[in-house]
Amino acid sequence: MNRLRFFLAINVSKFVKQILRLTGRKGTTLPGAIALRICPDILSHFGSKLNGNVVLITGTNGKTTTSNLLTHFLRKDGRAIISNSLGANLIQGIVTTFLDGYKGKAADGQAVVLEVDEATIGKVIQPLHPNAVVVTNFFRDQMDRYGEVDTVVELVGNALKKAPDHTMLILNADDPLVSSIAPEGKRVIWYGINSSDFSAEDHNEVKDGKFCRTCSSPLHYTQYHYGQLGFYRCLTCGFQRANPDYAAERVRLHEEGILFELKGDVGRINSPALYNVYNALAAITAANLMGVKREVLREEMSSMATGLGRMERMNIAGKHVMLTLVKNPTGFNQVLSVVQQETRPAHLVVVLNDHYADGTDVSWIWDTNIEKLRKMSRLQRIWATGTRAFDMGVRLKYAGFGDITEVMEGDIRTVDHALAELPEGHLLYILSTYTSLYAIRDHLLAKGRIEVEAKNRASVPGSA
Amino acid sequence: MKLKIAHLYPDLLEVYSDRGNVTVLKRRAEWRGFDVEVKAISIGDTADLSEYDILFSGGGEDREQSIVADDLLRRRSAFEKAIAEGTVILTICGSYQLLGRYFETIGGKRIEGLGLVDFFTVGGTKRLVGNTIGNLQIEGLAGNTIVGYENHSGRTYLGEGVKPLAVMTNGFGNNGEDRFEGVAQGTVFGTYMHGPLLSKNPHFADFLLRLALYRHTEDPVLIPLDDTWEMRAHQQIIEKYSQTVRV
Repeated sequence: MNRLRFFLAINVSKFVKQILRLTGRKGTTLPGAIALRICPDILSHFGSKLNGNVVLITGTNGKTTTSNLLTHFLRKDGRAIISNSLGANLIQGIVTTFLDGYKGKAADGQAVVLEVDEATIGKVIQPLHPNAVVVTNFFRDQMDRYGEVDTVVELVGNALKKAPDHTMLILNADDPLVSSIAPEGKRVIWYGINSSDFSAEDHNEVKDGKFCRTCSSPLHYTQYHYGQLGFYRCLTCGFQRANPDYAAERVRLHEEGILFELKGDVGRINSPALYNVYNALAAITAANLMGVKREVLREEMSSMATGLGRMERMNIAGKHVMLTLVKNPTGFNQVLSVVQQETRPAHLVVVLNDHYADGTDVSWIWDTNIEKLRKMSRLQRIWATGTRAFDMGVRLKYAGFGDITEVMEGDIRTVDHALAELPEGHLLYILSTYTSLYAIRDHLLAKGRIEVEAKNRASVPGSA
Repeated sequence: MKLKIAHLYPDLLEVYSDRGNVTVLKRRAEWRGFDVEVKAISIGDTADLSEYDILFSGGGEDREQSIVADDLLRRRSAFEKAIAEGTVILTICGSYQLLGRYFETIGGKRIEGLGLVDFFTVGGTKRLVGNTIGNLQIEGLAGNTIVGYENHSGRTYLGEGVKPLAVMTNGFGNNGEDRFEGVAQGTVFGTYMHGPLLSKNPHFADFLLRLALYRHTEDPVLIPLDDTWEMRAHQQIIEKYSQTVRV
């Protein structure tokens, strides 16, 4: 390690950062890119200085929410945190995050929580020698970038094999794609859902991992939670769900949120989506391993709030709005399950964009089960908007909603229009792909008549 | 009269939401007052393929594709009989490749195809990904554009005299070299334009429906539908992506 290069990299990139800030830019990538040029092994320097107080979180869905919840638990335990809360989860963004949080010797005792892109985890797992690596799940997402789900699973699998010996791997036991990459000889802690009101014995949702990755035989399920998550077993080679070390029991809906039990403690999340139970479990498991005090964790897990724009409930001048990110069929179907449970008349705005950060291929909307809302008589009105508004409109038309659907250009305009038309006592769901999510949220905030119903205590702005 | 559609291997070949095409065909026939039956056929199922007016199958990942290949070969004569009786076949990506003579992976592994149309496919290192636009080459639709999205590593080369479905103006198509996209031979079609291709190309959807109806009547008539949204979705692709010419 070259200390001179290290300090040069830090100072030059801090200077660049200040210039970027002066010109009004966030500067989440460029300073890191420059620092990497000057000192290619800069992450090893940070890794050694932070003495292993590092948790990395990767997987398709839930990276941001899991990392926000974990950050929150650690803060409540009195730790100083370095976290890429702006969601810059590629290597340049991660280096920038360290540059921002780096305080020289004072960095001792700081904890680092990073969400890491699936293609980046292999580059950072050795230099950062983390305490723990969380893998949430694998679903088809951003296929324009990776081509196949298998490719992503392999990328992360190869990264885990390179994990330092002391690193704990915190893996989702219910996802066969995740458990298939548990490397031999490494320390693995499993989390999963043991019993839940949401589960079924069978369903016809898309399952990305329906074949055993060891022997290619179909996996046999006794219970599905959602997607390919559940109790699975390969009857040919014996590959099966591991018994979770951290298992949620009695997962159930409760007053617009979800309740579950974990080792005798009660977890409560302010969002009714099942996938947040996994995010909570992953965060609690990691917090436990990082030594967060039991009483702090018990207190905080009883009132967890998911991040901004993740099933966020708002009250805007007496009108009820739910804003959420949608970016792949599994996430979309989970939102539909929530809409279906709604007892008030519901209205939908679906914002479909195809910018790079959304994924340029919007085919996935045809893999959603939107047809199942046909049984829902309380669904009143749907607006389709975004850069691919007409693709969404066509999807809704062929699902049988042609008569209640309107296609409108301009996402903000559409949201305003839908809000204006929303009758008293009705609920407006806004489902948006990534690139419009925060713009819509900021727009609602700027109107100055918003109050967030559930306090977003654990949330910081994040990305997909 | 009932229009019968078979969706082949929906549990295996469904990686890019290709099943949307079945929904589109079904709805567009129902809106014209036809009765439609959709049947799923998968590994090991016994089925007389020539009973169906339309056979559809989508794309899959390598693992699924090789599982399907074995089952398909078993049905080779059933396919030949269906084609002889005018059944319309639409295949996308992975199943398109299996219509041809063979698929040779980059590692040299050779998957035998049905050999129903004269073409072959070889694996490539770089994936060919993105929005695509082409001019349809099939009789009755020449002069019309077709738009879609491709994501494949295989390169397909058509045999002498075999006609493509379209000639690309944007995107890679079969192999990124000859600008050809897909294949069209009689009632058999293959394409790399994945996902809900027919939702944005209602003219092609109706072309397939009319072709299928020839099995029941000499002069099939399809009442025109309001395709405003479908064609706006089609136009959006052309407006947005026809600027960025790639070869």
